[in-house]
Amino acid sequence: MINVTLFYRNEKIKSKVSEGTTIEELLKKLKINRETVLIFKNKEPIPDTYKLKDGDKIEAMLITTRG
Amino acid sequence: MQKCHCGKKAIFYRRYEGRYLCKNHFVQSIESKVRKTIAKYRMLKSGDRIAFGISGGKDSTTVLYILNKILKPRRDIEYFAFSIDEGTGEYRKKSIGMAKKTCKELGVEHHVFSFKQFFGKGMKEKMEEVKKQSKGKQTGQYVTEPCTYCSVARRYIINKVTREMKATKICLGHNLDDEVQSILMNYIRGDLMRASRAGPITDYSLEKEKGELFVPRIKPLREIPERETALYAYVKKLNVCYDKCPYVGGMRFFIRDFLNDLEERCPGVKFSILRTFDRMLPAIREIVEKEEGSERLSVCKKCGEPTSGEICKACELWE
Repeated sequence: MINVTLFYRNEKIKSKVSEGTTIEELLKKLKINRETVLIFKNKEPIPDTYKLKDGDKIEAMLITTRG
Repeated sequence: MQKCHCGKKAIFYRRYEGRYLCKNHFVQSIESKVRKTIAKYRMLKSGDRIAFGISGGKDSTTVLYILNKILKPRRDIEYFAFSIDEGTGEYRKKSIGMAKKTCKELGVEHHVFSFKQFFGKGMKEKMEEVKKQSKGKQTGQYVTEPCTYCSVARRYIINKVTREMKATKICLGHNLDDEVQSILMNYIRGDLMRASRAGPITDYSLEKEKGELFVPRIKPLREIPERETALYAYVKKLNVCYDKCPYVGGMRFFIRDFLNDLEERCPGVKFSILRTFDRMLPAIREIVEKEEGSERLSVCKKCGEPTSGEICKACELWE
């Protein structure tokens, strides 16, 4: 198992996932729809098929906030 | 590391096409899609004067940025931008500030119009008034949906000011998600008349008398998913406000969530809905022309703006 942190809507969500888990799978586990977010690692956008590594800090930016 | 076909590091996986894109190829693909959409639907023509509705959000900023690139070298098309201040407080002040900054950087003339200017009050005051008036009444007896008041007033101002400013077209930042949400909303409400006016260019040709009073609207981002306009705005470092409207809610947002759940399970479903609708549109227009063609068309008795009744919705809800 590996430890990863997801920053989402001003929350810091720590998770333990098995090695090889993708961001897409992590989002599904956390019930976050991948269509509603952009994914960043170190402020750089990355695909949601990225395989997580131990200690990864990922940001999921919510984009569906318009009004 | 996932790579783009060019060998560079991918920043995005476009699931409905099954391909990875680097920053450059992502940007190129968005700009090329917009150019193709404009050409496909003949959205621009020589002599046009385009009014860009810019809220300061990601979609309207992106469409202005891309079209500024396309239009800047053209001497035969004029354009300007405008923003509407609905009176929703800090949220709108901040986003209009962003819109002003963008226009200044791009060298585009920018105007601001407010609800207060046209109706004597903004959304905040209006919703307080509605809350008082609807007290004691049952749901369904009174319109309490903020988005209804806001969209009616906004449409009224946009059409009136752009017509008075001699615009030949209004360019809006509606993306694929917005379009598909509207298609489903019209379907659910059984509103074929409104559905017949949808599509890449708003078409009032069915209502010939009203044609001259309405400024046609074009939507060059209608084939770009919302997530991709957001990513484009981010990688191009555009001045964009991501804040949430304090009144956001209503049916559109249930449909938005439903469509996102569907897209997650079946990538490409939003495009399928759009394509199916586009194919059905001529038939919808034919039905509406047959059924509603004889409907009396008029101008509002109070304000002179176009309406299908005696009094337009803006006068009905805002006076």
